Parts: sequence; C-alpha cells; structure tokens
Amino acid sequence: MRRERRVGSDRRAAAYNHPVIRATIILLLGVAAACALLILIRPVLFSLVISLVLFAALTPSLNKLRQQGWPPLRAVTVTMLITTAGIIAGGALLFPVITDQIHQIARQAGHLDQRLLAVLTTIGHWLEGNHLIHLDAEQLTTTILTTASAKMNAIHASMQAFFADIAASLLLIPLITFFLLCDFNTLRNQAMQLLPNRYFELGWIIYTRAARQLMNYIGGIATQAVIMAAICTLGFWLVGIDYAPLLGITAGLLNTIPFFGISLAKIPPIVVVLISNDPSAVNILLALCVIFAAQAFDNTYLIPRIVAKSASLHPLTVIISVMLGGYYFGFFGLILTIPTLFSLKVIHLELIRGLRRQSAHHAGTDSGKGFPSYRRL
Amino acid sequence: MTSASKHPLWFNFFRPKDDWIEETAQLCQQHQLFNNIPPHVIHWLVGTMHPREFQADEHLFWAGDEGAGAVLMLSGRVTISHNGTKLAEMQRGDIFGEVALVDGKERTADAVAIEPSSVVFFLRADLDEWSKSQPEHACTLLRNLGGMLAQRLLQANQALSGNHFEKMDANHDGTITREEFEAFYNKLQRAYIQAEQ
Repeated sequence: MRRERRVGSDRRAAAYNHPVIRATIILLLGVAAACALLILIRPVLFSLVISLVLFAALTPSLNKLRQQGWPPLRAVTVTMLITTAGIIAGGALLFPVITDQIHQIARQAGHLDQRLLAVLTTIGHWLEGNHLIHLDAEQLTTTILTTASAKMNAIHASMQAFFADIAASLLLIPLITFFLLCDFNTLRNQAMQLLPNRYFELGWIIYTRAARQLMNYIGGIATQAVIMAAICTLGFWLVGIDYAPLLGITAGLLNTIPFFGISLAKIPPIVVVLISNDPSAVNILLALCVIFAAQAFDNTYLIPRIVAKSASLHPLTVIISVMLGGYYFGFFGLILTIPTLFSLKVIHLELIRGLRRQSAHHAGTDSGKGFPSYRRL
Repeated sequence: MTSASKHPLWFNFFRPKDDWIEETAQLCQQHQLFNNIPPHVIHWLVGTMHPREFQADEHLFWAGDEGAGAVLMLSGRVTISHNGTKLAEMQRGDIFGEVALVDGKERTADAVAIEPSSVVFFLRADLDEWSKSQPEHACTLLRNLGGMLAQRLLQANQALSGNHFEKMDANHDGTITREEFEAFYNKLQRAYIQAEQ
C-alpha cells in the first residue's frame, strides 16, 4: 500500500517535471505577471508600444551612425532629431491634404443614401428586366446603411480613441524612444541578470530567438502593408476611383488586421464610389475587383513568402484572439494581438525545447546515458 | 558610504555595475581571442558582457545544454569534466566554451565551479549585435576565433595521428566497446582543452 502511494507520488512528481508542463507553467506565470504589469502601466501602455515600434524602426539607422564611430549619445540625439523633424515636416505637408480630402468625403457622404438607392434601383431594374429576381431597393438600402453605420461607428470610435491616444502621447513617445535608444540594451541585460544561473543561458537563447522571429514577423507585416497599399493605390488610380492614395493606404493598414482586415478594406472604396459623381454598379465592381486582385496577390505571393513562415498559427486561434483583442483593446488590440500571440508561441516552444534538452541531459548525466553519440566525432 | 543610492532597492536600473569592467577588459587584452582589437573597443565590448557569480559545486553548464556563448574566468576555479572524468581546470583569465560563439551546438562537457567563482559570459547575441555596429572589429575577433579553433583542430589531428585507433581496432576486429570509446573520447577532450590553453 505504502509502495503504491510512493509510486503514485513519484508519477505525479515526474508529470510536474515534464518539460511541456514546466514550460507551460513558466509561461502562464510569466503571462500572469505581464498581465498584472499591463494593468499597472495601462495609462502609458500606448506610448510604450509606439516607442518600442519606433525604437525597432530607428535601431538600424542608429547602428549605421555608430558604425561610423559616432559616440552613442550623439548618434541617438541626431537620429531622434532627424526623425522628429521628418515626422513634423511630413505631418505639416500631409495634414492639410488629408483634412481637405476627409472634409470633401464628409460633404459628399451626406448624399450617400440617395446614391446607394439609385445604384440599387438600377441593379433591381436590370435584374427584373432579365427575369432574374425581384430586388426591393429601398429596404436593401436601409439595411445596408444601418449595418454599415453601426460598423463605421464602432470603427470610428476605435480610430478616434487611437488618434486621441497618439495626440495625448506626443510628448511622452519621443522621450521614451530616446531613453530606449540610449539604454534598452542595458535595461534588458539588467533584467536578464535576474535569471538564476541554471537558466541564464537558456533565457538568453529563448530571448534571442523570440526577438529575431518577432522582428521578422513585424518586418513581414510592414512589407505586406506597404505592398498592399501600393497595389491598391495603383489599382484604384487605374480604374479611375477618387482618393486612390488615401484608399490604398487605408487598405494597406487594414490588411494588417488578420482575417477581418481585408473585409473591412472593401468598405471605404465602395463608399467613395457611391459618393462620387459616377456611382455606377460597374465602378463598385471595379473597386471590388481591385481589392480582390490585391487579396489574391497577397494570398498567393506575399503571405507564403513573407508572413506565413513566421506566424504559423491555427486560423481558429487567430480569429478568436483577434476578436478578443479587439473587444478588450479596440483598434490597438486588433493590430497587436497576433504579434503578442506569436511571441508567446515562440517563447513556449523554445522553453519546451530548452527544458527538454536540459532534463534529458541531466537525467542522462545521472544515469550515465548522457554520453554524446559516436556519430558526433 | 551607505547612501540611499547605493541601496539595491533604489539603484539606477539603467546604470550597470561596472566595477568588473576594467579588470575584465585587461584580461581580454591578454587573450588570443582579442588580438589586434584596440583596447578602447575591448573596453566597450566588455561593457556589453554579463558577469555572474557561482557557488562552489554549482554547474556553469552541463554537457548537452545548448551553448549561448563563451565564458571568461575572473576569479575562482572551474573544472571541465565529462562523465566524471576531469578534463581541465580553468582559472583567472581563461576563456572556455567559445565554440558557442559560432553556433548553438550542445556543450560537450560539464563545467562546475570548485570554489566560489566570478565569471563573465560573452554571448553570441552580443557578438551578433556588435558585428552590426562594428563589423571590422567583429571580423577580427571571428578571425582570431577561427585561428584558435584551427589550432585546436591541428592539435586534435596530432592526437588522432597517434595509435589510439590502431590499438582499438587491433583488439576488436573494427568494433569498439563503450568503455573504450569513452576513454578515447576523454583523451580527445583533454587534447582539445590543452590545445586551447
């Protein structure tokens, strides 16, 4: 009886020592600690994330200056000054243009219901004329406008909060970015020094791999957004749709939101066609064709070559995570959920790999089985 | 002085403790791995390294663990062993495990502190970052590392050119027992370590 109990407790101990279980427990503890920290720093979370993105974007330029023998502080100061000047100049140039276009769209949008009704009536007449189906244009217009209005209100609220956060963080972001550029490595090293000796090397290996893969993923997503924006802008311009650059950039940015982004990207061009001087069904089809063509190129070329290898997550995981991210953190959550999830996946896998290797060799050392294989010589 | 700024709770988290840097830089300047690298560059590079303290009988790493970088001894003594067989003893100024600077292969031996020891880890990640910011000096270090590894390969070849294999083959018709292989492997390890020193 006593022996059976002992065997049972040994089995439980062995189960807890299993690398997958240990890695999962460590990860969950880490996530819990990170969540507690996120709640504490939530007021400055947005500024921190944007600063980290800027830090990642500016690091290569900083390295170039330091390669040429610039002292670190001078290199950081010059990089920050050039970036800030560039952002201010770009904002000063683009702001009037974008504001003007948005006002123009808002003025034209007042007639959106009439334009949509006209288009649907035309389509309805054509369908009835060809004895296909009966289309109640007025009812369909009301349904579409109600649904679109609800969606646009939600998006508008999220975007408004997003840009309000940017406005509120205008002073904080450059300051945090400056200190990150100066001291990120020191801060990271100090944090890694907290690791126990046994996990010091493993911790660094996991950090290095996770950081590299995350940077690849973010780089891939950014490249994808730029290419999609360029394709959509060119496509809209070729088929003669107004505000082609604005629509293209919107499509590129929305495409960074997994699964839902490309569906959302179809709304702005349709709205623009409807409020234009020629709101015909053909133009709506052409606008949709541009989006579908860009999506096809994205699916067949960009995702397999740029994004997919670095983010092989199950679609269901992605859908649920993006929905939850959007629910809890708005527009910001929609964009950042996948990189976060992806980082957790990499850390978990690397933890399992490292702990499995450690436990295998430590067990092997104890029992004399840890001798390297003959083939290695 | 016991001012508040010296208290561990209130120290500046961004400011590393740098009392070990000067000493480590001097040791690095004397090592083959850092030949032809200017002292101020070595000093800067050492600032990116990671000092660690180990108690007596504590493992620095185990055979089979994935290596993250090389280890420089600041003080104390560390024994390198495999399967209970002592291969070498490392002291102040010695560098070991530097193959991990090249790739993430498994460690081939255990490293255990035999007395309280201070060491400094020079990680592959730091070398990668350094090679982006100062590629010329990083290239010199990699060339030195290549020279060290080539020298060790030469020593190992000399060890192999002895009659170890011939003796084993003569006894067993081309097959070897585990014990014989382990003995041979330990000899080879010793040859590597001696070549390194």
